[in-house]
Amino acid sequence: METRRDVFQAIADPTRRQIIEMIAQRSLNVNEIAQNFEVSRQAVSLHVKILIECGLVVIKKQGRERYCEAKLDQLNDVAEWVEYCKQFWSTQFNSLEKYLKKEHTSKKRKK
Amino acid sequence: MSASATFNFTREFNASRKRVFNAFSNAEALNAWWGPIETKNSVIKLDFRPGGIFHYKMESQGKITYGRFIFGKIQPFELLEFTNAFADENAKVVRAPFDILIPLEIFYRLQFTEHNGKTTIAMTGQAVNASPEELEGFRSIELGMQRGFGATFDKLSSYLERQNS
Repeated sequence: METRRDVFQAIADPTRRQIIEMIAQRSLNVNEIAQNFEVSRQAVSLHVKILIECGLVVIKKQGRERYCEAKLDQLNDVAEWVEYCKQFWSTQFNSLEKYLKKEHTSKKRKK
Repeated sequence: MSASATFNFTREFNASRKRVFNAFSNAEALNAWWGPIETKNSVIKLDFRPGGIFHYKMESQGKITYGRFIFGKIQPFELLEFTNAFADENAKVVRAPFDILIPLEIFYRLQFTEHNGKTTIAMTGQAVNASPEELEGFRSIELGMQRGFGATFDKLSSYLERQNS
């Protein structure tokens, strides 16, 4: 079976989400990441590997160190529709507000 | 982040709970406010009761799309549940007519509370019958929102600020 490697796969796991959060703030090497988790360094390393395969992490070499850097562009694919939803409902509720105001004013006039 | 977490949205209106709630319950009101601002919207059918349908038409530059609600729980002035999806002219659910990966159908729950004559709608949204990936993406959104992943959220917040000013 072919393993899925895309942004959804990447963020489907809570540990991977935490890793992304962490390195989104600054690049870290695997040891530094692993210090923040109770799971083994090997387990963290595997998550990082998956994140790399999903295109959310790239490895940058600095001297002898290998740093994990977050590539967050793809998360926009996921974020995009939520933004769509939020914008959609903001707009809907703006219209609702206008409607309520208008309804209110016309009622007052009738009185 | 809770396991069942979802899309959350809150909005306050300067009107009584009854008036805000009723704006969802009749075709005259929905014709006046429901639907995207860039399209001309009209109610095709409204059956405001649990299990009932709201089928509507959106027209823009000769292009016609449709949407639908199926109502769930209705507790007047307090609670309103419905699913929302794009649909065809027969109210059958279809994919969104644009290139964003969004769940086919979203379940919304709106709670109405009134305080000092103002009404707050607190809404949650959740993908209906989504693939596990869609659902996980949905659940992960709050993380993204908090961390401000990507420029989209900056765009959104400035948009919202503009709306509020």
